[in-house]
Amino acid sequence: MTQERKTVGLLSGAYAVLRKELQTELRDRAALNATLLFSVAGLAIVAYGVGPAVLPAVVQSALLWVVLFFAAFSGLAHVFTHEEEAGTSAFLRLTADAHAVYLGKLLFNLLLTALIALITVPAGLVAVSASPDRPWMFAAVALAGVLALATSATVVAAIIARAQGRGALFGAVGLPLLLPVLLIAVDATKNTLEPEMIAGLAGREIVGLCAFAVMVIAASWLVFPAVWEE
Amino acid sequence: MATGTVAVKLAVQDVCVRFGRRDVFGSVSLSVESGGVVAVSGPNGSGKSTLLRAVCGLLTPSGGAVRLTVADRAVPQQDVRRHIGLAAPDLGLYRSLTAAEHLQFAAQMHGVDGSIDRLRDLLTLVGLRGRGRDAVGSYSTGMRHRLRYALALIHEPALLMLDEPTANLDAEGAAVVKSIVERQRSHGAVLMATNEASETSWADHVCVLGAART
Amino acid sequence: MFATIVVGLAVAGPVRTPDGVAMFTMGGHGAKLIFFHVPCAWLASLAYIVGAIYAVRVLVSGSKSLEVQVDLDIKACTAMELGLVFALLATVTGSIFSHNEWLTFWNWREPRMVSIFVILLIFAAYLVLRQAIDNPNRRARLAAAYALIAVVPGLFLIWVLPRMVATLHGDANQAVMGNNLGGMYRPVLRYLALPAFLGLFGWMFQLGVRAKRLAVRHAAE
Repeated sequence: MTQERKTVGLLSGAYAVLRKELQTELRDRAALNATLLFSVAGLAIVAYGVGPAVLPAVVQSALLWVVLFFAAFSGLAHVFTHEEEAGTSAFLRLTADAHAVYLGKLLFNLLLTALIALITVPAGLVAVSASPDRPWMFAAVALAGVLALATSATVVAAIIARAQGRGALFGAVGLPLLLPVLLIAVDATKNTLEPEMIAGLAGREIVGLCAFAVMVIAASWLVFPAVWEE
Repeated sequence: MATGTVAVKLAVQDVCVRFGRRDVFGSVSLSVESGGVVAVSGPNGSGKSTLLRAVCGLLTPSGGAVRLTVADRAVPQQDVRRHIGLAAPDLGLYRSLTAAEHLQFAAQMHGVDGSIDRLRDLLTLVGLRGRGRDAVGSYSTGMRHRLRYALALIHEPALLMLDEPTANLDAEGAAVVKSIVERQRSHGAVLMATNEASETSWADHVCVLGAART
Repeated sequence: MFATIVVGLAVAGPVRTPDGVAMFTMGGHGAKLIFFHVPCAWLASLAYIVGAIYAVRVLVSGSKSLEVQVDLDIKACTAMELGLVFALLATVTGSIFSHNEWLTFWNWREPRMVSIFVILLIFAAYLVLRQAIDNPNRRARLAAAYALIAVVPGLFLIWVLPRMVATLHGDANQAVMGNNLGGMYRPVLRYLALPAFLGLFGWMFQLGVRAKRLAVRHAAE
């Protein structure tokens, strides 16, 4: 009896890759713990530096995003670099469709960034003693920022995983792409922290961040096979 | 498990691979058809493994062409992986995943049956029965190589590619490999890279690669 | 010979133009800096467009031949290197101009300044990424992929960010073509400085490509 073959849907393939990432990362927690520890340490530095000072909203929002960006950047490359380091990428290339790999790893990075944000953002608000004037709007800005951050970092991780000196390269090559995100996110967050800011301004910026994420996903989708396959 | 024969033809035409200035090998041609077993041999560094990787699409040859035809239809480059199974010693596995999880993942990605019964059959075939729930990190080199065979066979590929088929395997493992090769003969074709006389004797045809040139 | 004429035009034109222009407060030769600043900024963008077009061709060429791919990569890389040079010149001239006119070298609230800074970083990151990859074909593909991904922040900086924050350049996309300039400035900028700089770009581009092709051939022998 010859095995019957089904065409593998993109989503089920992506789900299989995501499950594999979760299994390996949750069992071998070293990378995950290092990232979470990094975020906590970053927060501690900010909290210590700020002390009892009352900061303007723009500084509060800049500090929040700097902590979140660096914490996320310490962990987001791992999803691709661990394959190259352990020599498992050839197996994955032979087994999985390139777009399923991209989507599965993007989903994993989205979850990881959301987890980091869940820790750093509330604790960061306490550290800089800020309270959002419009909490829901604030959460929406954070979510849109997470989306833009994770999508850009994922494709850059795929690229740098195949180069030498990955660690330093990830920051150097990734941050220029993310500067526009950082600028918009800081401005949007400031607008949700200050009571006198015009409503709707942050809303437009949320749309901007989401549009950025969608455009990055579209561009990544097109170039990923060339990055991933030999 | 596999009885239905698939018409498969692999044609490697004037393929050469260059790493920087150095030719790994220049202009290799060979062909494998259903029911055939072809061995590639040559001294260390002659590019046996590299040739297999070029056939799998894991690297792009600097010149020449690799054509795979399955059921009289040319297979486009991005679908080649669906029709080949590669067992090579340098194929890394995930340390923290179990053998069963590796097989389940591969089954899901290839769209084939990944039920417990089928996985057990495959593990029995390669002599890993009862070890399916252990993490691969705890496996010996030989056991990992056995798992690579199970992974290469899970989608019953038309073309089975073996790099150093019995490296790190004991006598019983080598016998298993021999039976896998014989069985694949009735299902499709085999291309293997080896220097062992015992293994080249399985082949109908041996293609010898020259020594590395600089 | 060609280069001499082009550079001569690019320098002589501005020098012969009458001083001062109504919209700027500064007098003397200071305002003439825009004859260098605007074409440099313009060439930096052009370099990115040229680089991105070659990047697309690198990715599409994959199935043809590895040599073709490396040659397209040489062109993409040359465009990006020129982009870095002109972006740097645009930043420096812009900063000096800003100091003359608004008494500050740099202002982070000014979207054009932020944009040129980020574009500088992207050009530099592209070149740094290339240095970290040995295999010429992998280098070609990964660098091309990065150049195309970076189009997204590029578009954001050009169209989205200036509309979210007020800019000193007046209507941001008018200043690019010099539409808000008066007197002889507009014709000199458009019909003399821009073509001259374009010629300079073309000359430098083919020179760079030739040099890199020779280097590749030399390495192969």
